[in-house]
Amino acid sequence: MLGFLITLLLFPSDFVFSNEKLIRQNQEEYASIVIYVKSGRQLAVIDILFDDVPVISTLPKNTYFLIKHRPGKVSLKTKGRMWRNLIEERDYSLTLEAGNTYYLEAKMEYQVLMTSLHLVRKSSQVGAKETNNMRGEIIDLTKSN
Amino acid sequence: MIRLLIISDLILLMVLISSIACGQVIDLDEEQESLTQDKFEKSTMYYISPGDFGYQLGLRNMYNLIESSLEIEPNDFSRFVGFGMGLKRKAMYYNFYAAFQPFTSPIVKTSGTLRTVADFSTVFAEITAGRAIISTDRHNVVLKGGLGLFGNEIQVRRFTTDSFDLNRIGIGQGTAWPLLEHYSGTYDIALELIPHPVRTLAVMASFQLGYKGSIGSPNWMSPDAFLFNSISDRISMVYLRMSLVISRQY
Repeated sequence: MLGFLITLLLFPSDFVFSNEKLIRQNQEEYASIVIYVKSGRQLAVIDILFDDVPVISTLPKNTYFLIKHRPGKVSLKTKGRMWRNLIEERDYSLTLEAGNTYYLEAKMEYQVLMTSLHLVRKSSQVGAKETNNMRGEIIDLTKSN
Repeated sequence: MIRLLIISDLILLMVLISSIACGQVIDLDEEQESLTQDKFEKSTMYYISPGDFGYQLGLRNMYNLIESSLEIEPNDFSRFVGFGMGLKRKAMYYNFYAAFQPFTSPIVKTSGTLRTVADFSTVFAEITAGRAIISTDRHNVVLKGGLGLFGNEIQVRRFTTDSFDLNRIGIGQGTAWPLLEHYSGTYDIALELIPHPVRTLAVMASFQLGYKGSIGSPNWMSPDAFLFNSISDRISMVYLRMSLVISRQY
């Protein structure tokens, strides 16, 4: 801590510059997708797949998942793990740009003999506001890609 | 049996539909802000209610008379099957619904070789209007009120269980009472829990808890004979209705 303060006092501009540069580098390397659930219980086991790889399997209410992903086009899928013919498979595509954050709200729809999990794109302002007081979890997919 | 087959075929069809209802890729590059449900202002709905359960608190005068005279205890619990149509305009719901008893179970009392059988059957229809008073992310709770018609029929017959010669079919072996009918106008108050439709054609489950009460207290009648000393009765029924709603959105 003392060393940090001394460094900051002696080389303030260099430290800030290098830190900003590091953050910028990180931001430019990947995009962030925030998938969140506001309310309601998940009565069916539905996975969210990124490029056919299951990434999220449980969606507790009032929770968000921050997924770090490399830029480019990504395919997302919501798919039932059990009773698959009673759970609708939904396919989505999203083009990611480095440094950007994309907010997707996950909404369950219960029909008679058919359950669906919808992903709804939200603006940054709305998404940031709605996830402000939620529990969060970070999933890093940049290394697995 | 035919109804059961139709219902099972419908279930099978829906299972098959649900398994193939996929494949379209949804582009998330444009912000949606909401599911499509918020865009729908109008819906036409078709109700199929295989489970409409009623508990009769009224009709006490006739039920007491039957119980004391014939020693038959009428069943207060009834199961109905119903069909209906509905319109939704924003938060307002307008419905027509009619129901009948598909499985009437006769009440039988046997005393020695003398058997008394009473068949009870009920039909009703209603027109209601309602408004969504609570709207959550997924469901509407609709407060409904309406008017309807409620009909009850009771057929009592008594016969011996002695052996019967089929060559004497023209003579018969028992006694039948005139068919007893009671028709009453009703008012209806109910709360319905119904999901928001998310797509243009949605199949949803709705639950409705309600009460039907008589308008006035009509007398019992008979189409077979003029009834002397007829008695009046009132309808008072609590019901729980579970419906399958096929909803088309505009």
